[in-house]
Amino acid sequence: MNARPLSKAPAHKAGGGEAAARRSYALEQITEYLRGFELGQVVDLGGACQNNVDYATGMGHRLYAEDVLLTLGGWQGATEAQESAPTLPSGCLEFPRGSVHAALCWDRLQFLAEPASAALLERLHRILAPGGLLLALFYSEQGARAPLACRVTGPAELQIHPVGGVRPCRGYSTRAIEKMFQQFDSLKFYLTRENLQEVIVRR
Amino acid sequence: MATQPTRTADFGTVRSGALIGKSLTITGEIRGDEDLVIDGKLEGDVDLPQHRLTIGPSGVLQGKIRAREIVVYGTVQGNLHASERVEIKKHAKVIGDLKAQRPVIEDEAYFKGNVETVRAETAKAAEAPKAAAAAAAAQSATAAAQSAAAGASGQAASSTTASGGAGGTGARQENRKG
Repeated sequence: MNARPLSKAPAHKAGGGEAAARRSYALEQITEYLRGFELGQVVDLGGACQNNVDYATGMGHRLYAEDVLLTLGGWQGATEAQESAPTLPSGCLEFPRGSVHAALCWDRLQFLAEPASAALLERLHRILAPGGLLLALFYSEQGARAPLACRVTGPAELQIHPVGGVRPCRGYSTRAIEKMFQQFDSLKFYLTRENLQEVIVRR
Repeated sequence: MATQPTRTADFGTVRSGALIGKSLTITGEIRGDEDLVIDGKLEGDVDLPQHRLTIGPSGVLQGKIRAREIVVYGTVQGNLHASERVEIKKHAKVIGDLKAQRPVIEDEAYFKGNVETVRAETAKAAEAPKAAAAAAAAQSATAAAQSAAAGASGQAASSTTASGGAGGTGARQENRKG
């Protein structure tokens, strides 16, 4: 099918960060997979943005958008609330089993405390269709960072810029990421700029 | 010819149609055949298949919306279905599924839900039977009116045909002409 051209994203400097477009091999894999069929379901856990809506709907899929950082305890200082929330609140990613074809997690998992990220991964594992793909970004070093807004600006191109306030961000080694996704079928790593690892996980 | 009344709201100019102001709270369903701006509170569904619905910055709507165009500056909790476009403006808050030919979500808008695009031909096909039914209803009303007019002594019944589109559904329409 002919996909609609993606809308041009404006240059962003929200949160003091410069927009940076980069090639994404993980996104390229997701695009390739999603082009194989129509009327699939994509979930974007970074919240709604026009580029990502155009990306998914342009290929004939539905896009569910929700910023899990907002859902799981609020945008500011949410760590304590997340610690005491081992299961996802109702209304968060309530899809039938195996009905989602791709999940764009971006960097959100590393901003969630252990119980929340574990509950989220459990839910994603349940709702992803066999063979479905999950894309996640991880910093290798622990620190305080602003979460990233990730816009799809091409079939294999992302524009990434920090948004909102700085918050604690857990660092993940390759081993820790492998352990995190051990219930999934396979995963592949791509090292990108700024110590950011792209991970593509197959259900 | 007289022009339509014009109102200026803080989110733009309302060219025509009805306005539910900031202080109004309505519980119930709204159906109609003209553009509508909601800047108050509404608990209930809105059905304006041929027209534009605008939820103003103070507008809060809890219910399903079906319209030709939907523009949200305020808050909506419910599903939005537009045969043409849906625009969720900066600082608007929408929780619900969105179906439109052209969905637009501005930066800094909050949206949680599913987005699905409907193709132009699909939207037209969905509207066609309703339009045909409305036309048929209008035609039969015209025929009835003509026969009634022929039977009666010079009494005109043209008002029956004039309200054929929206009036035929027996819809309740809540609006206030500006």
